[in-house]
Amino acid sequence: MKKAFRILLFLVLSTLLAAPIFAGQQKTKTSPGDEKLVAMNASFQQFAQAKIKKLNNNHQHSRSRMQIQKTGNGLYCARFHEIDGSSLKYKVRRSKSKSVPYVGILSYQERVYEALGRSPEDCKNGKFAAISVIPNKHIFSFKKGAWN
Amino acid sequence: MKKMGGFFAITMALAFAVGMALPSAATAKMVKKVDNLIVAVDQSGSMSENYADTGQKKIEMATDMISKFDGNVPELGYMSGLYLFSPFEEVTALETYQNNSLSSAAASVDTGIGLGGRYTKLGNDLQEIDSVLEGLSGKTALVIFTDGDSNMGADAVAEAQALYDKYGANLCIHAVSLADSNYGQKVIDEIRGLSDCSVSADGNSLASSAGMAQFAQNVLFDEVSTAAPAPAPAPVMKKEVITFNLLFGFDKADITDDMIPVLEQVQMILEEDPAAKFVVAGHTDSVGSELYNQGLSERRAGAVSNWLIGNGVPANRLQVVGYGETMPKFDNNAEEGRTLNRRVEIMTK
Repeated sequence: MKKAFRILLFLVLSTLLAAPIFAGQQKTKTSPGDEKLVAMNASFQQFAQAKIKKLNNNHQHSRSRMQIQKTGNGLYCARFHEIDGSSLKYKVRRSKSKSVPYVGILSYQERVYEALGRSPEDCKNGKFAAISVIPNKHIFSFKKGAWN
Repeated sequence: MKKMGGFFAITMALAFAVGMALPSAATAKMVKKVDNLIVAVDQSGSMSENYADTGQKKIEMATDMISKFDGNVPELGYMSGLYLFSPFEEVTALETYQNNSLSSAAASVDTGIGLGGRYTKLGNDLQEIDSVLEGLSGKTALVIFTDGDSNMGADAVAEAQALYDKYGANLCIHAVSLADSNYGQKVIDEIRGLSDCSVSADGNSLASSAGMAQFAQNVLFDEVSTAAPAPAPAPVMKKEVITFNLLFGFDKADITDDMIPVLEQVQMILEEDPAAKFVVAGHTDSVGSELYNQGLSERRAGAVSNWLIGNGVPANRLQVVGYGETMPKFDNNAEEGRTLNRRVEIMTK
């Protein structure tokens, strides 16, 4: 009896100790839906990075279209807007809509830079510093196979 | 001995502490405003007359002032020379400025000139000095000591304007007035008025050493502090902006099923801060009339607001505004810019 009990105890303990090892050897299955979301994330990032370039290039006071104003003390101020490339954050969510199955949210910081100078040329070539930051969330929809 | 050592240590410690506590003196560095300094003295007959009731001849005052001016010119590598006007003569050829060079040159000027036969041809002198200016590079300060009594030859003000037309911002004419007639002062004032860069001075303003030092600085250099610059202030954080393009149909403001996923995201973002209030703003591009675009932007902002209210966002949290084409964020001259301008923005109040 005692011998049988010891064998049984040994078997139970062995099973309990081995279970995690076996479990770890099993492959984790990724659902097709998750893989699709990962792919959509990647495509949204690509779309968003191209969008950021368009937003920067087309801003009416972009770096190439600086706003120049004369200040009250006789100096000139140059100002431009630019999105901080290091601030980009991406999020893709599924929607219940069949025609618009995904939405993407692009978060970024738009910075306003200024420099002063004795003349319009001086301030455009001056040392720029960020004077304000505008947090932005830009929402896009995925429709007919493309981000809009 | 031990007591002496201890006293010495305490003294050193106190001296160190005081030294660290005292603010370090900010030093200033001279940065030149011009590359060349040309000084001209009017030696016409009228300059042999006394200046006001000083008892001193104008030409003597001029050479005295040049010597004092010289004492305030820093050695910053200017190319400099001294010339005489009426008649035009070179006193010292152009060379890199060294201390006392202008004083020495001024000392060689004959101040025993007589009145007869020496007419003031200031306009012609300005034509002559052009041949000197042509050979210079960079910016030039032309300082003329004169009584302005230009009574013959080319028009002095017109010739000064011609020099400005030719050299633009690379030339500044500073006329130091020794005028004792309204006419002479008028000529000087008109020459000064041709450019904002011109620094005014006369016998009175340059009489004091402080006045002369300030004149030299205003003409020749800036003082720039070499103290460590104050750190730039942190940028101001503005309120968040949520932007989306619902792709409304042409001339339409209806909310369609395809727009709902985006609006649901907007709703989720607004609900992240239940206490916040928002402005729902409609914008258009610049195509079409202002009146049409104003109405369209109001209808679209209203449609968005109504959907949000109908889906649980309290109405008192939303203010609806249509800006039409009046607040473009992007360049309306490009199709891409116009597309980006067609947008709804929700801004936190």
